Amino acid sequence: MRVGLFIPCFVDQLFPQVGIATVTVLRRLGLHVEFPESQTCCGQPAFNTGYWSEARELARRCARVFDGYDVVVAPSGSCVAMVRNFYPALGVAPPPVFELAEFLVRRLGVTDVGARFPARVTYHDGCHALRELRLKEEPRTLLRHVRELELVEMDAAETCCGFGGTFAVKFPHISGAMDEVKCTAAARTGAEYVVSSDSSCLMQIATQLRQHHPTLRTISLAEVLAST
Amino acid sequence: MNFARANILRRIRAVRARERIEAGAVPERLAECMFAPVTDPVAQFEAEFVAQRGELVTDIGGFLKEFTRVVCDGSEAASALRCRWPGLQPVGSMAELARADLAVTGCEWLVAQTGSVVVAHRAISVLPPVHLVVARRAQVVADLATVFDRLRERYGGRWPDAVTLITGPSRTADIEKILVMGAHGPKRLALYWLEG
Amino acid sequence: MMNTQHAAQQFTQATRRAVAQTERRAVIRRNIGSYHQKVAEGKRRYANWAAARDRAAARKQQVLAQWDRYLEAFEANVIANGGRVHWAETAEEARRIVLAIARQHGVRSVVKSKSMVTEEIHLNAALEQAGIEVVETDLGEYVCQLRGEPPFHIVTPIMHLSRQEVAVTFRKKLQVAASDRAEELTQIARQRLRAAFLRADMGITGANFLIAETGQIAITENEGNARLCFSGPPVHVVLAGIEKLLPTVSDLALFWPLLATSGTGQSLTVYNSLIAGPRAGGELHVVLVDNGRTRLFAAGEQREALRCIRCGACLNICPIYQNVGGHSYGTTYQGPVGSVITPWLRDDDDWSHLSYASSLCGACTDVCPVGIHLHHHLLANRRDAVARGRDAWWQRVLFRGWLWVMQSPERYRWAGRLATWAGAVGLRGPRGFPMPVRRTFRDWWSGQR
Ligand code: SF4
Repeated sequence: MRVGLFIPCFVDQLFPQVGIATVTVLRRLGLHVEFPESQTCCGQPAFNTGYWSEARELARRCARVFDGYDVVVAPSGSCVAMVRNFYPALGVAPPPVFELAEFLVRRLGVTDVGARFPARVTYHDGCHALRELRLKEEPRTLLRHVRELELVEMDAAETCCGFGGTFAVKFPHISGAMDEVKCTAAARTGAEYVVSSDSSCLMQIATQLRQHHPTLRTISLAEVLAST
Repeated sequence: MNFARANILRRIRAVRARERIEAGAVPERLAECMFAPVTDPVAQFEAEFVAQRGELVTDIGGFLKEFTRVVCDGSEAASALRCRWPGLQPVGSMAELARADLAVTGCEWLVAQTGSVVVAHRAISVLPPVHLVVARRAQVVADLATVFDRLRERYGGRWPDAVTLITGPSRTADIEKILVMGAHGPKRLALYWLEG
Repeated sequence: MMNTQHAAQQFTQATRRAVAQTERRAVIRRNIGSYHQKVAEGKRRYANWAAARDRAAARKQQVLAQWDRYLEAFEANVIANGGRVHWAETAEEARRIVLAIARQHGVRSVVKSKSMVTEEIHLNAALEQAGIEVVETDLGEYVCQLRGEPPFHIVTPIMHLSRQEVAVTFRKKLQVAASDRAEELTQIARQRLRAAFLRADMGITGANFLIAETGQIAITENEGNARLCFSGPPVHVVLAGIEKLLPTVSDLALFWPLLATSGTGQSLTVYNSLIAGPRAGGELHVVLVDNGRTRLFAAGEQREALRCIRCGACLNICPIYQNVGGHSYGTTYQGPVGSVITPWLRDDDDWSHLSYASSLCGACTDVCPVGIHLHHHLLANRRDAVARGRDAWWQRVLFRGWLWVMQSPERYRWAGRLATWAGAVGLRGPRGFPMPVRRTFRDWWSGQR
């Protein structure tokens, strides 16, 4: 199986540790992963803003970059959803992309990646992972098998954190209000960490936590799974 | 003269001529996706009717004693009561109905699955604060789909000008989602079984 | 006529004010919370909710696939039932039709039951201008009318108000001593409105469904006010959007429960009526309103939104709606469905800003009982707005530049470096979001090789 790594531009530039953790987990499972260095962005920002011809250019590019891989794994539900669910709307055949948890649980049938993370955590469902990819149990299954980790559900785990890409910039007040609702729910669980498959959600959540719930921190699912 | 009609239809047809609007297949048989099937229609009707806050009347004499201004419709069922309580007279005008404190009516069918009463009249069962339905157990049908079949059989091409499916007494939850009974219609909905 | 800037700016200002009102947001959250609880219970009764939804979607889609034929069939059957059918292309035309009917009958007083299409065409103002008294009789709508406010929500018009606020409205506008008990407030409205029903000479209702097979008008309500509107006054006028059709009366065995459950969590709404003609000695008029619906039909995939049965579920689940509330939208139809259809229904402005005012979380699509892919249509609206040149010039330039960068790994790398330096001298992303880090993932990857 030829495994390609798709590290969204966002993760590459802002949260490289998430990409590194993804590599760590996959290698621990004995997989040989490749990172085609010509990859850039999947085109989602343009697509979501209405610039479909710009997005199409990048979609074609992305499909070319990952041509020939049996699977492409990415630590982001959002970018995987863009590729798998929205490339067809642009007339581009999507490469076989999988979100990390989806790949591990659904494709490999792995639920225990041998991780240890001694903390109380709560899981935030990224909207794309939840509603475009229908991943609900997969990340939780993985978390439940992490040693010394206690998973507590928050109310409104499925409620959007308010990021939404350019939405957070165009309507910061609405985005902020949504973030506030989310973080209040997360804080009520008494967890130490908010975990999610999407670093963009976590970035949004972290801005609110820094101000109002300084004891609660964010960490990506990949990093939790990489810890031992 | 009627340009609007022609224009609206023309615009729709223009789109349909330009592209095929997918109709899509209708999946699943209706009964398989809806509420649990009915096994004992009368028992289930009673249970649902009560769950929707309807009252089952057994002591009809005692029940009627509570009321002084009673109106009824011209139904056979209501006249069955009239033989026993000659005071009941069919009335019509809104003003008269508004003064009554009880409306007694018959009904078309009763729906087991939802505890609903199907009537084919207009204001009589809305204006008075209490509505008593007089019915026979044989009028109970299993579910909504059956009601529509039966109505179609009974009325063929000419439907009554108004049919209402009543499920429990009038209510509102407009204010803070607090349930209040008797918004504009009756606060109480009661049912009395005629034997035979 | 408003210009684009105007509606978009108003939205931004209104939403800023709305999110600052924490108490108002708490009232909304409480009401919506109890809605969700009831809906969850209601859905448990279905053997297969998803299958019921797919079936409903398919039935409505069948109507759209032969829309003109269903409209003609419906019209013919209304006429056969002794009713009259009027067609209106625009809001103005619809108002004119209703006024003409009113004038013809010398109408002085109108009772109305809840109808969003009458809100859409601003019917009340037109009737009042013609010297006709109009009374909204749905409790929530009555309170809206007393307060001079539009409905906050397409199903639950005063979900933003506390009992105390309703009581204050009653005391002020009706000069009654009212406590803030919901029971008492409802009683006061009931008494006041009884008189209105008895004096009205015309009743106006909307329609939840129009049955093509039989020419029936299906009206759903909990209170009984719609029944009084079409039972008391001799003239009954129905205003309905042309998309309200269902093929057969038997379809209601699916749509009545579905609407009830999605709307309020009930398994059936209390009164589901079917009107097949005028009452004895009366008249029935049906006004079929286009007002942009055929424009939406021509739009493309967004036409799916014409399946909408106005249940309100997408509003209730929407985290934007929950935080900014219904009035901020400045539209008749709020929430996700409003954002999808308003740019097509209204040509007084662009309204595509509403399509951008979404995080695209897709919760709306999940709850829609007729399977409308609402958040995908918001994306399609954005695409169409750009295609129509409604985007800001600087944004267009920005995305061109961005594409140029992303088309080359080298340019991408350099752009990242540039941003890192900018971050190092103190520049921050919007809302304090971080800037790119010094050592990116690809740096790490090439380093470890
Ligand atoms: S779009 Fe769907 S969920 Fe929203 S109001 Fe219409 S039918 Fe209900």
